[in-house]
Amino acid sequence: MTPSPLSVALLNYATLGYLASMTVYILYWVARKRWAYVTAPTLLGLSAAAHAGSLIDRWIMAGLYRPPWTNLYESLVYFSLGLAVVALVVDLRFKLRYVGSFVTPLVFSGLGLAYLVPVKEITPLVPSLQSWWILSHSCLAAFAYSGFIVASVVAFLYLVKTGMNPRRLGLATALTILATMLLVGGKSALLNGQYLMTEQVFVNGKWRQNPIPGSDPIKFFEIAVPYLPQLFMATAGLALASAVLLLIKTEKVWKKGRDLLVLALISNLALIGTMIWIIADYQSIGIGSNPYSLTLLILMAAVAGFAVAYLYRGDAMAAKLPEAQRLEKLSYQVTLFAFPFMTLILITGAIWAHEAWGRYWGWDPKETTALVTWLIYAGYLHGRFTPGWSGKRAAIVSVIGFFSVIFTYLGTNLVLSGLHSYGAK
Amino acid sequence: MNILDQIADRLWRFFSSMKLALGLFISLAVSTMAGSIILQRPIAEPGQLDRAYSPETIVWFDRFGLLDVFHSWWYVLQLALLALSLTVVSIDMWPRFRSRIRSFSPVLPEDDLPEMHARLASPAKTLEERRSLAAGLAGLIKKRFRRPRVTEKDGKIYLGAESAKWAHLGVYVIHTGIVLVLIGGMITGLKGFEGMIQLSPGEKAGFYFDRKVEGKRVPLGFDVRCTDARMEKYPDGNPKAYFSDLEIVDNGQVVAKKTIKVNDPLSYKGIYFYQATFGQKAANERTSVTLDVHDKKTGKAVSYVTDFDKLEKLPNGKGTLKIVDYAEDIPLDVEGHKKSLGEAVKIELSENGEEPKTVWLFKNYPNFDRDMRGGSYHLTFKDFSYDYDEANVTGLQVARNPGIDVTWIGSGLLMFGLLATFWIPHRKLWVVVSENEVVVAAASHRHPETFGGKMKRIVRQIEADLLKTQHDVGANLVFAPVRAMTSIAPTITTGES
Repeated sequence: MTPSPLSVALLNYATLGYLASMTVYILYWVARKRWAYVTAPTLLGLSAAAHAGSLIDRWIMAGLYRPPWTNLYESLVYFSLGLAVVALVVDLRFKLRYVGSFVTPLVFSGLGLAYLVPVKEITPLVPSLQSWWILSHSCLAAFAYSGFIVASVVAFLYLVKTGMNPRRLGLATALTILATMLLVGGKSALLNGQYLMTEQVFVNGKWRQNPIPGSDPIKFFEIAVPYLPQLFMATAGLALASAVLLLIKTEKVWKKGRDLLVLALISNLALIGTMIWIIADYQSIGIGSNPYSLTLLILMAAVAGFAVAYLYRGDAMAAKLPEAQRLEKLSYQVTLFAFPFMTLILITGAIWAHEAWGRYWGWDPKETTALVTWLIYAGYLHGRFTPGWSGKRAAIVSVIGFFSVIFTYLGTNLVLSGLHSYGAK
Repeated sequence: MNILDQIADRLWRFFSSMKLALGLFISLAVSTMAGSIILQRPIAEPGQLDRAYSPETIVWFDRFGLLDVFHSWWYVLQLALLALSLTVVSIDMWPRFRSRIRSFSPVLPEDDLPEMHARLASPAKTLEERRSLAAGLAGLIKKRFRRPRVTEKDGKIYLGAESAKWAHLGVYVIHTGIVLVLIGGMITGLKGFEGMIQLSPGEKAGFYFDRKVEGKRVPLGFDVRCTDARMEKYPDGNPKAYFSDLEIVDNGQVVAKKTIKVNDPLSYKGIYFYQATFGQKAANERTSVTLDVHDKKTGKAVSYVTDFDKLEKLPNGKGTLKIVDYAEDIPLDVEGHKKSLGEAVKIELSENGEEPKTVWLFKNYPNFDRDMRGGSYHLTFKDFSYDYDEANVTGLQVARNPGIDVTWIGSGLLMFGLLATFWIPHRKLWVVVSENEVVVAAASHRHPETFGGKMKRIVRQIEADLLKTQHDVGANLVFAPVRAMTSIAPTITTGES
């Protein structure tokens, strides 16, 4: 089934709205325009409303038993909405406009990625997903993940306010970029100069990445893609050089490393641009070939972007933020909101697994990475009332939690094979 | 004795320290992550490990149990330590929690006011007026919040009310829940099992293949019979649903019957049967080989239609032939010259009671046997056909989870405890009516914002009541602005627990 024109149009408006809202949010932070104070959340709210309308229309078309979060495309659209809504609520309730400037780029990227997914139709459910639990289990995940992401953003704001060691932040950023290059490009891109993307096959009038379940396996081929290996190497090389310079405590030297970090970021952006261009240009390569790689790259670029902004304009950024204690408390409260949802995901997931597979906990990568996220935030909650672990350390734990959430959502499908990876195909 | 006490004390302090709990959170997070990233033996497909890692890497991983993290001694040890730490911490912090629950006094300590408070001018000059004012306020607080306790001291009247003090116990519920989840997992791990059964319609099995030990057959104690297995497809060919009609036969009696599908298993005596896989197999295979047997003397040919391993008598009754093999093609390579000889059958031929001879017959060379072999008959291979029916095969996952109920109870407690702890705050409200002022104060150990709003409404109402009283007594008093509440409302400490 193809989604209705209304649904598609609403989603288009929402995407444009998020872009506009992102611009206004950033403008508010940078230039403190008074009109932006009201305009930014209004735009975010209108976009989220259109976004929700699009999903509801899709849901009505698909029927109650088939909620709109059952494949990769829908999942990206749905989780983007969850993030936008949680950010909007936090923004309005606590009158903190700065969260928006972090979250709207993530929402916009989520939708942008969704656009690149070739299969946007309302696909029927495979037998294992035909369960009432898909309604609750996957629906709750958006609350938990979005809550944690917003809490981590506020924790990061707290770190900005209280001041971070710029050299160490730079080092952490450089290492993060390096790790991303290793994770996405892998040995073959970095050492052998070859990056493979999966070619899709044209079956029954549709481009498909994977063999149709139940039919004979269709062979698909991986083709080496131009330009990308060089860009992977350049980014990794720059990040490595920057990390080495940032290890040295002499101010003159690590500041050079900081400048190299900017080059690494630019190279990372060029890599993302080229990858999108290749996906858009070669018809037989869809985003389905590597959606997680692209998502991870964009995410890391966003994170690195904020880190670099802090490295150069940290004091100016901090000056505009509300007092640290308020940020700390807010981050804690949003985590308190999200944590029971995360627990509920683990429990409903266990019940569903018990019904579907005959074991409630099978140490499947999706289960274990979700457990890691749960443990990290459990540690955060306990750390807050342990002397020496509150404040800065708790905030760092929360920021680590951000990466864990992303890894739980996307990483499982990117590098690990497991039972949940079918949800994405 | 003294030394033993000291050791016990040290141990107690070690296990009750929050540092240990945090250390365990970190080490568990790191080891769980390792187990997520590195392929694990129990869930890896056959051959997947060898494709992913070099033999040396596998040896090294195995040395540290990294290929089966979640069953390694060091992972289980961490879980056990966590359970122990949870238990000891819970006991250790009880006195603090008890005092938090019991500490409420309706008398507001006026020299140490909570941050959230408001001062209003008092219209009640005499003790009688104060008493009647306090009684009115008590009614209001009862209606809006909880019934307050009233105390009179030094001409002042103190009202105090609290709500949901038991929410402090949520932590205990959470910790009990987690320990139960771990115990449930332990019971399942020690006493449970997982296995597979494959059945086609009409077949039954009284055993399953254990999942952990390859090829190990374990008896069920009863039979499971599949009466039908089928699938439904979507119009585009994708699978829509798999069904298996199962019957449990215990002591010759059909005791349970159910059509299972994915997400809807059958359970009998605590053993669950899940629809896990579905496929087809060849059943009722039929082959037929057509041969002509030529009598060399008369030239008369007799046609045989036979099958593998079937002993056929030669026309004169003095000998037998049997098909033993078939090849789609016999390739020939003579000094680099490649040639394909085509279809062939291998037969065993015995004439006049002699030892059987092996003979190849080629479809494309009907004269091969006549030219190459003596005997009274020569044979030609005419045709080979193969046919079969497709039978559905349903794969059943068999599992017993004896600890599952404990796990579910633990999960329920965990969830309930979390909600109580995070979302139900212990709130306190005080009012002091004295000659000069009425002080309203409130505290909440969580979510002061929402309570702040409620508090503001209560204070407004109190203010309105006071104004009314003021008209009644006709005094001319100025009230402190209630607006002061706005700025102080959100700054209540929440960090205490």
